[in-house]
Amino acid sequence: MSYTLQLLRVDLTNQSVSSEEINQDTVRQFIGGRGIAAKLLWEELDPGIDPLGPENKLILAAGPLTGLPLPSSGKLVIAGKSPSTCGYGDGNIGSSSAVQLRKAGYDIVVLEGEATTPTRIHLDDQGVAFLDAQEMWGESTFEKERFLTDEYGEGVGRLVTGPGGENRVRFSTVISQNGRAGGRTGMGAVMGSKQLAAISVTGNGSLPIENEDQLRTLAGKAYTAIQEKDEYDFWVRQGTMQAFRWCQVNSTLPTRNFSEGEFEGADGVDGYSMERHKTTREGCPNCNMQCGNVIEDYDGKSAELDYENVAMLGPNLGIDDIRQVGVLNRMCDKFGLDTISAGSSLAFAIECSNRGLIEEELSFGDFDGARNLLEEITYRNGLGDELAEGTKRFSESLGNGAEDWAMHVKGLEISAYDCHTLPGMALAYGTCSIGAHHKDSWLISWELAHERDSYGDGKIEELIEQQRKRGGAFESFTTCRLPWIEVGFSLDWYEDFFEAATGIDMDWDDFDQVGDRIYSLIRSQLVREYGDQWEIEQDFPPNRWFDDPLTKGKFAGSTLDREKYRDMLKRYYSRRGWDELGRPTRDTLDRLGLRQVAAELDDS
Amino acid sequence: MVIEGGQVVTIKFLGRAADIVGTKEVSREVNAPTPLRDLLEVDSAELDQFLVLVNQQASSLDSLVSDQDEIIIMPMIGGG
Repeated sequence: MSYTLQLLRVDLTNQSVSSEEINQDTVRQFIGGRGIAAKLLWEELDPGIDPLGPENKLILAAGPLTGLPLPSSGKLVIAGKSPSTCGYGDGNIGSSSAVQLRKAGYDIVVLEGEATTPTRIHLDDQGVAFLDAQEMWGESTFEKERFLTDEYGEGVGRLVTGPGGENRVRFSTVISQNGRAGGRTGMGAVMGSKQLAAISVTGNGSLPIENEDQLRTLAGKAYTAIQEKDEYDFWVRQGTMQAFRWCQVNSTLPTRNFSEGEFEGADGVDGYSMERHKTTREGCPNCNMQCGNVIEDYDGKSAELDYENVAMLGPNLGIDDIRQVGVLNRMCDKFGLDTISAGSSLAFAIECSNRGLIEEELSFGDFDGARNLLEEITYRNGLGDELAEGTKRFSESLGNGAEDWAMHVKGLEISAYDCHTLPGMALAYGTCSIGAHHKDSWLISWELAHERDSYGDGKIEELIEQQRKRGGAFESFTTCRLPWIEVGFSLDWYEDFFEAATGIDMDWDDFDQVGDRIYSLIRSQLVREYGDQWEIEQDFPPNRWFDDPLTKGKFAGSTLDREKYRDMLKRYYSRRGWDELGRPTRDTLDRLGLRQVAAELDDS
Repeated sequence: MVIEGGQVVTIKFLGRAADIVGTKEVSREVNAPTPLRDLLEVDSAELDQFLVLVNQQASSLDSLVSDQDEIIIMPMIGGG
């Protein structure tokens, strides 16, 4: 029997729905999740459209492994044209909505148009209900979720946008389960722009599994294999927070708007500090590596932390109290703001204040100032209105060199690793498919284990390998990469999972080719969008890492070398089969089965 | 243990490595270049899979270390 994915189109303008089937050939080419979302957005969006207009589409994309009884499978991709980068944007969210969606019989949901008044939708096995949402519009994400659980019960899958998304903050996210976020490329704003307050889903059907006995047998062994890994127990204690002390010791911890790589107050915000305040763990469905560490924050409330938000809202703001970081993190979840971009935007504003570029008096280490500014961003008051546009746009409006230390690539703020001394990770940020994010690749362990200051080909090979697997396969399966990358769960399992789930025999050579296909397709979308305006410098990290040396620690005086970076970037392009400006060549697109993409690029 | 007047190396242990050895940092006296493995008071095989830096250079437990060297032994984390 042929394996298919079920696509549901929801027209918010006309309140109508239709369904389609994605055939097995397309699944072989794009798998699901990110792959399918990238394909749909390439085919269905015209270049130049407003990402916050009705022409944009918001896609919820599960993959063949999503929601199945397999390790860490409770993930869902949320994609659209990004208000931050104007290129392809997505994020994955760990949520029971991923499981409920598939049980309801849907794999891909394409949300189109825009509602004329605040609206929410409820999906179940019977179809889609369009419901008035004026009562919840303007409420926090927590309140919106409470509204949904009151109506449908605790088990309902929930995806909501917060006041940040309603007010079109360009780095607003979609929130689920009071602290799980997805779509840092501004998917909360896309949802808000459509006046779509919430999506709820209840599924009562069975999960789509070709060989259920085989899959359940595999799953039982897989969960045990993960728990037996040497790394497992420490992971359960600290999760991603183990990276904090690791980065501090290796001078890669983002500190005061990425001006330094070490923080003098690290002891108050590191993984051990988190452990002292930890009350419980939270996680995604089907996961036995739950990474959400919950602490009691400064206000006595629960805040769910991981490394990225602690580093960006702690050291990067000069804040050295994990409980204060917890408050800022909880505020981001409540408002529906991305913690990474929020931390970067606040740090940028503080540096602007210190340099006299803005009138507001802000300072690093000022917790009250940070929480006030988060609120101003959410509701677009005062300075917050400008910061809500993200550091790229705000820095361009300020001028006076502010662009040099606005810490983003292509408009997406850099996640929590300082790269003054890491050419490979800088390239990873520069070439990541969605802007500066660590999801697609993370080279730092590899760089330290080889030659840290090298701009050599080995780093390029490793980068592409990771982009294929992390950015391609795992985002499209769609399932979490952490069992593989953090505790060493073997990649071989995923060939077996995929075969049991779909009946399709594909191995990692096949998955890697899908990864290359996705990467060149997303790149083509960017090239089409920018046209003649595209330039190689868009793949460069900020000037700060080239021009402002670290002043503290064992790497004081270090910067990246701009010309060596440029040369490495061009070798990366060559290895990918892209031209010297980073555009996929016709031969490359043909080889990847993207002939129509090549033809359209030729015509554009 | 640090011996006054001796030549000293400092070893930092991160994450699970610290759990294995029971400390986050230790100093050891060395009178001549010495394999790092010989300075560890645990079964060093337990640390073979860890990343070793000596003065920020990629190294191994078999690297020779000497006076004033700074050593880090840490897991190969995946970056989330």
